[in-house]
Amino acid sequence: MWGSPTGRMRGSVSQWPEDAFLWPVVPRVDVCAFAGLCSMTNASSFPQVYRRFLAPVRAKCRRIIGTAEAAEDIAQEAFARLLGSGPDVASSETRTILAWLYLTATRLAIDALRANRRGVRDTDVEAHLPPHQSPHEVLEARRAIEQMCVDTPSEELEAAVLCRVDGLSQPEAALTLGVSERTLRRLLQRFDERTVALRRTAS
Amino acid sequence: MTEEHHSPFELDAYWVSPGDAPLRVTAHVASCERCQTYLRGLDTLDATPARLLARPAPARRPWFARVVPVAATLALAAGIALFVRTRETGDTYVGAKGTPAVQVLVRRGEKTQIYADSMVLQTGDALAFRVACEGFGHVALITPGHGDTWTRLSDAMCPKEATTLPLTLVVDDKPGDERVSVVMSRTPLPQKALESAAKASTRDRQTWVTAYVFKKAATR
Repeated sequence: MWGSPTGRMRGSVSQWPEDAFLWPVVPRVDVCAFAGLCSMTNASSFPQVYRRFLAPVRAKCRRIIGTAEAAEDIAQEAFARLLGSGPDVASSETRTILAWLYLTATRLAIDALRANRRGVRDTDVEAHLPPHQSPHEVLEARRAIEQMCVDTPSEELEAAVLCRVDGLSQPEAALTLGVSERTLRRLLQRFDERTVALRRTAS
Repeated sequence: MTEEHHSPFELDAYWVSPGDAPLRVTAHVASCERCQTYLRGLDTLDATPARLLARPAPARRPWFARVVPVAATLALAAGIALFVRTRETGDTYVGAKGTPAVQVLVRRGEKTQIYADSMVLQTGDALAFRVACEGFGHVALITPGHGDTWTRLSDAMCPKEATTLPLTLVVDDKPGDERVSVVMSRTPLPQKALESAAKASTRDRQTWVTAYVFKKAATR
């Protein structure tokens, strides 16, 4: 038995010689040698990044697409693009990678909506909706985006997806889109005006 | 939008890397049922098998076919990585960069070596544990005691970089093997949950257990 912790501790590890802490060298794998489409850094770090970020990206895709199958396709496509043209995942912060995946998945989702690749509505999408917004508001915004996606500029749709469906704060959405908060507010205002006009037409 | 809850972006970042989350987020999540529900939703999605490496693209969705070569390449690379890693590191290898990993260092006299399964510990050997938490926020060392009780030997926040825990265990002269489980978790676990994880050697997004059974040389 080790006995009680205090009874078994002796000294501090810092007293150990420096060469005691050699970490085994892990070989890096050059996926690019096979794929020919990505940087060495991203390729070697990609499996871990994929594992860590997959669930949030899946949730994000389900929020806007609502169909598990189509959302999964978009999530996978976003990771494929991360591998090919994304930021350096080894040196980037969590939020940088997450923002890049959010934006890429948003654009892919808008493309999918425009191409009308929708299926049966996901019944458990509520679990992935923003905690601070009512499900009704989110689903209304999503419906408006679906209805207007063909004729509305991509920038407005992206802003609407990030703020109204994903529930990002305006500073978060502005950073993700790479625009100022003022520009973001203008995009959202235009989108809201379109929504009002759509409802008026519908009624 | 109210100020009580954090955005999915904030919660996603917390879920991906709880150790890096601001204190205000950690404190809020601990007491907010709605945010916890959102995080549980991520856990559910995380448990869904990854299709990228497991499922081919359906023929009726040709646009997705672009992903397949990448998936195949990754699968091939992963296989090669596993093969190369196993060949090169042998018994001393515990984990890879990017994966939660634990390394045990054994100091005998003036000599220090990395613990291997084949090693037999001797009385007086000192053991140190080096951990790479890779996103987990908390690490605990636990050992079974008499009966069904377990003892926490160490309990700490995960270091950001791979580092050695400030704890040394010294092998005593009592007969029998020694068992120690290193339990990494997103948040500190209560005793019962810690014991359950150690017993089950759980390895998932919430908990990552590395169990050791140290053989001791027979003493007279």
